[in-house]
Amino acid sequence: MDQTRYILSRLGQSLLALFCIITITFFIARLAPGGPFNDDKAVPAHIQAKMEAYYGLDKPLPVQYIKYIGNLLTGDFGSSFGNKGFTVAEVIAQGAPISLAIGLGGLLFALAIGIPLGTLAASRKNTKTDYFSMSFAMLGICIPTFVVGPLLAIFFGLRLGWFNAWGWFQPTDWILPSLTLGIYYGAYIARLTRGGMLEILGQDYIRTARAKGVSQFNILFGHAFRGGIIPVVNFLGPALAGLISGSFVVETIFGLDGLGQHFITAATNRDYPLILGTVFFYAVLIITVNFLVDLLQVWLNPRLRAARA
Amino acid sequence: MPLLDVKDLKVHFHTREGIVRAVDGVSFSLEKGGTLGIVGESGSGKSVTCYSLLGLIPMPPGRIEGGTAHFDGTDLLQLGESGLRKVRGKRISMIFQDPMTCLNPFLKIKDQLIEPLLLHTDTNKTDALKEAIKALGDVGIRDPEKTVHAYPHEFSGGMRQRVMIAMALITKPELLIADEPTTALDVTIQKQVLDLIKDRQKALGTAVIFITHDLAVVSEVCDHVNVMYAGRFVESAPTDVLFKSPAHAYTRALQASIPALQEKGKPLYTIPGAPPNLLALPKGCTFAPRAAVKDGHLDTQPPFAEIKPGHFAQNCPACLKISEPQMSKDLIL
Ligand SMILES: Nc1ncnc2c1ncn2[C@@H]1O[C@H](COP(=O)(O)OP(=O)(O)OP(=O)(O)O)[C@@H](O)[C@H]1O
Ligand SMILES: [Mg+2]
Repeated sequence: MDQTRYILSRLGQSLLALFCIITITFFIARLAPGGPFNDDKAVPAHIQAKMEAYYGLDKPLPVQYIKYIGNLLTGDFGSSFGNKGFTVAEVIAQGAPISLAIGLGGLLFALAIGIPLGTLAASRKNTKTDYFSMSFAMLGICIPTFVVGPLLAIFFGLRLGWFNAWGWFQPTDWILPSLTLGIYYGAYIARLTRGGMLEILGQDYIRTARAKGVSQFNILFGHAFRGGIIPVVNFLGPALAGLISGSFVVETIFGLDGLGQHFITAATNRDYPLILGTVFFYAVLIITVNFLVDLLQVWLNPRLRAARA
Repeated sequence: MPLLDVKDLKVHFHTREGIVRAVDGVSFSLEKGGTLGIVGESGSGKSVTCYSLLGLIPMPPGRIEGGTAHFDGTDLLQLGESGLRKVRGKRISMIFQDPMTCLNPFLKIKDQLIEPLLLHTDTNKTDALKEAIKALGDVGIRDPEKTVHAYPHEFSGGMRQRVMIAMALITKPELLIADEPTTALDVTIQKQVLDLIKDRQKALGTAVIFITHDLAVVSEVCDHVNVMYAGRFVESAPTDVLFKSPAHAYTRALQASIPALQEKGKPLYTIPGAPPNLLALPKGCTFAPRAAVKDGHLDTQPPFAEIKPGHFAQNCPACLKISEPQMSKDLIL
């Protein structure tokens, strides 16, 4: 019962947040100078006025805003100005799968790299293994994706020929972009895991476990892991947001027609409906992810579970 | 043959500041089913003495510099990690000072309780759970069928210490090391937990090493007491002997600081000064700077000698000198 009430109240908060995000984005986009039809080549003033009238851009801003929200409530995101002949929903439906694939793939790599590396470093604290892992993590954080990406493309794509260095043609094409993202976030997760595990490994109850004859492996994974990865779980929300919405650079490097691309072009072209559509999509995604992360935290930590009940 | 026979144990920590001589040549033995007390102020090396037997001190910086610790014939100090793992929680168990932090908050009581059984015996999970429920009942936890499924945060400190005791004894170990098991509990609970340990000891025939800085606790549970000071034993005797005729000035001072034995209305006696810095121990008698008798302390390390049959003490003439007026001064000062 309490669980249902909690979920309902979270849902309410999320809708409110979504509404605020849309409203703020709507007005900020309009406050920015320029417009969708201020092209480089001069468009005759009367044609521009006609186009603006056609799209309803000549009406007062509040009227446009109310109309937009009304359409949104019926599920209509409008048409993209920049992608002629496509609705916003169609553009998102085309770009989102690519962005989601490389974002989730990136998360997969990040966890697969970061958690073992951080756990290893923590269990061998202040040894060569620890220093080596953490130097590697520091490198991963410091080298920007626009350097790592091309290096991976050159090595695995051109030299070894294992993957396409560019484009979205084969089922394996997500791997290099995801790896590029995964190295950066994995490095960060490695440091978080090491810190979290060290904190737990210093606790009295780990000494209790050792005094019971538990092996080092089971100490790490049976006794310390749940507590040790809490910092990583807390980071999952922001990480996923960054992975999915911030994949613009990686999409550019690997020539992918993802949502990040559409978002940036929409912003530079003042493609208002597409800006709002992508922001809406990202917001829903991030809110959902944060909600799942919250549930995961509660599930991991019995004290939180008790507090919630 | 004693159950545990420790000879000349030396455990040092190699830190940046220098070598901490936490345990510096300690010997004791314990018979099957016996109870041995180790008393001393904070930092005297009581915990390190016992943890090093089970390989539980962090190495580095810790290092066992010498000695032997024969447990039922095998030298624990030579066993190595995998050998020790078979002893820990099976033949030698431990309970610790702070029950609030010694149970894993992420795991259910039952999972922590049955772990020693699953690790060290070939009990299956169902039977282990039955044993866990029985063990909880044995330490006086009500409704064990239900509470076994709870998490540690649902228990009070006293209850958690009972769970710790149940967990330590679930494999019926031959030796229980109790490191200040009552220090963190409030007074009414302390007595209950002490009685519980005595009670379980009697039922299972377990030998117990009781670490404490409270002489009153020792008098209640131990057959034999070792008094520890700055990494060494300064006195070792059967409990009644130690209480009736303490030989060493430090033991007398400890006794004098038991609040219950002091005169009402007078300010409480505490031992003047602080324990010596283990990084730079004085060459001679380590208690000299704090002793009431100032003259005549040895300036080489005093030998640990049998001063009466079965009664050992660090043989520094000044520390062992008891002239009547001085003793009363020591006691009431
Ligand atoms: N990991 C360590 N590194 C350096 N020194 C240590 C370490 N562990 C213990 N020591 C030192 O060893 C000495 C003895 O510590 P120990 O924990 O055995 O004292 P204790 O008699 O159990 O005291 P307490 O009553 O406070 O538990 C202390 O001076 C402490 O500073
Ligand atoms: Mg201690």
